[in-house]
Amino acid sequence: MVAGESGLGKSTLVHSLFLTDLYKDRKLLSAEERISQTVEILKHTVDIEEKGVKLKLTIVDTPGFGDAVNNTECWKPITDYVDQQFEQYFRDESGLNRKNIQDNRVHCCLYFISPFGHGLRPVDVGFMKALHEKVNIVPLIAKADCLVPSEIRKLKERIREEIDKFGIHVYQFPECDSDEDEDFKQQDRELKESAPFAVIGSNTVVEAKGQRVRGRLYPWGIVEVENQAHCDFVKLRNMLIRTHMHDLKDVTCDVHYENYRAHCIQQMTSKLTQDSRMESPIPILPLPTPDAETEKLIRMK
Amino acid sequence: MAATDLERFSNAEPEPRSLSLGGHVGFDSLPDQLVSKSVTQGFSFNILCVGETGIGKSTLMNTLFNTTFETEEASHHEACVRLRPQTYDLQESNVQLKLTIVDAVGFGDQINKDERPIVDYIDAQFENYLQEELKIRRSLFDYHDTRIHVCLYFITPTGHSLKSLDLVTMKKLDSKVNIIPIIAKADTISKSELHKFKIKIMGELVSNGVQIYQFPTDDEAVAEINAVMNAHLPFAVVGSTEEVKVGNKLVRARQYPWGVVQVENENHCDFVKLREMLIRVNMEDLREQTHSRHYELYRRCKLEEMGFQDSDGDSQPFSLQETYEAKRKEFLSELQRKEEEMRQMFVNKVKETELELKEKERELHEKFEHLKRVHQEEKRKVEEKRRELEEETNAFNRRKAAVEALQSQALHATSQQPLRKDKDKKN
Repeated sequence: MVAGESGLGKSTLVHSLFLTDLYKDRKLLSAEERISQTVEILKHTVDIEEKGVKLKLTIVDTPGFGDAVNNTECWKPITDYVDQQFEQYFRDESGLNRKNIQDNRVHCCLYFISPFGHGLRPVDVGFMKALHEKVNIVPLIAKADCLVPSEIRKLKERIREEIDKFGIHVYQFPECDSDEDEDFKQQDRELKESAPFAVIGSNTVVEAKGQRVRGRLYPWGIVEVENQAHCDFVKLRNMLIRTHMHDLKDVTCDVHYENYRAHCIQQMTSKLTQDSRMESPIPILPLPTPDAETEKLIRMK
Repeated sequence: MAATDLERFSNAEPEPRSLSLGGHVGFDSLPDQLVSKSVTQGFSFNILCVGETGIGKSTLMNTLFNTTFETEEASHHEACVRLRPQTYDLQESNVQLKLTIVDAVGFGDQINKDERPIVDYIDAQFENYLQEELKIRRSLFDYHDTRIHVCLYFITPTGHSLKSLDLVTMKKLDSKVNIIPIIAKADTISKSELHKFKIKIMGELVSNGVQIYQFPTDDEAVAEINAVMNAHLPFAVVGSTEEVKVGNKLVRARQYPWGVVQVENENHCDFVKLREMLIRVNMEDLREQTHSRHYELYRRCKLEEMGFQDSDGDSQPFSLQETYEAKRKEFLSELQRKEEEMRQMFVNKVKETELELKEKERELHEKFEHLKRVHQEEKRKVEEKRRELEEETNAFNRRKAAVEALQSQALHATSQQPLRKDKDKKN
């Protein structure tokens, strides 16, 4: 899932990460239309394949987040969506035929923080606090090409401090085993120290020093997206796709989903003990109350 | 007759004739006198900076005026928008400038965004000036003019379009202050994106009827350059107070790993254009526009609200004095009328209550009478019954007496009878 205010480069980054264009015919709203916009949830699913390994990638986009003049509770549609996916999985898991469960749960949420401020804004804090127990949040500093290196360092520190201060649980990289080689450990350390990643995205390929690289062309220079000295894009890509993808999925399964499941069952059992004599009527499905089948299953359990 | 003569004089004012001078008189030094007077008086200029926290307002001010205005970094977690004015005295050559920079702290940070404090602040400054103007003993000469001469609106460089808050705020401010929109942190947008972004922004402003400040093109001296600049709005600026060595000079710039963005390089950003337009060319025009257009509009609205008019049906201009007197009389008569009304109402209410009370009294009386009658009735009936009863008792007594008499007679008779009977029986 990608979340953040409009204009922070979310779609460009997705494009750079997966090297496919998911947003060909996108219509952007004008400012007056956005004054009272509500948040939508858009899913794009692509099947990509590399060297025989297939990946079904779903990008969940949240246009309209933080755009309106009054943004109270604008993260509610997003939390509802995440809960809905959990509920779907829960139901599937408790069903009779479990061969082809489609895992639509959100494994990772890339949250884009604006680089134009001094740190986290109230809407950022609100969003992360609403979602940190449900999904792995990876905060990113968007459009990092407006910050010089010293400013990036300061901003990262600031954001880390504020994350601690507000008690937000972002995704923590797992500790690497002590028998891994030094290189790997070094890499891992660097990774941890550079969170949150300062990223730059680009849809265009430009010519730099005789090579064609993905980057942004400015009158004063060329920003290369894949240059580690310019931004943390490579680190993000490695982390997300090459090294930590499985860990993200595991944490979603083992921690967030289990939390949800436990919470759900607890609610159910407490409700059942309250009205144990009455047959609870079959509700018509507004989430997150599961239906009668699931209730029976829970009771049996 | 004298009156008609006067009339003729005032209506038939002859056109002033232009004459040529025979020699040098010397009133061509009037502009110089004006200049020296203004210089001694000093100038004042008030800038309002509106934009998100951290967008680079303070840095740009520092860069524009080539000095450091001490301001601490603002936090993102302000509860509401605060306006923080700070006044500085600057001097260049022998010209003194009293610069006031008003910062809108906390703008755009709240979850439920609000732009009203800014509008209220601007109105308050106009109000202060109006009050000063309307005073009996006023000193406009000495008055520290705090009206905002220009509002620099900082647009976030998203690359797509204006934010909804930007649109709403600018619409509210365009009739109160000269707005110059600026694209802040422009080193984040590439040239092609910038071009598209500028077009999009101007398009949105026009289609929503937002009137931003247009550099004046009626004064010949500056018409050309202003016209060119008007086409470059909104200016994309980069601010920096750090100096970096480029070539063999120290210039103000931002050093990135991939290059150096020079603030004063026209190719890199529009900072130089902004400085030209804002300070070197149009500062005086900005002040004048504020006074003659925005302030007059405010004044007119405010006075109309209070009920003043410029002229009545006979197109005789009212003087403020007369209008004031008329207003006062009106107000007093209104007051009297209201008093009368209230008194009337009071009296009416008292009457009503009295009537009610009387009504109640009457009812009670009636009831009392009624009950009394009923009581009498009952009493009578009871009396009758008693009489009847008495009669009956009397009758009964008489009968009883009669019966007793008869009985005693009968007894007598029977006492003889049984003897006869016995005799009969014996016989």
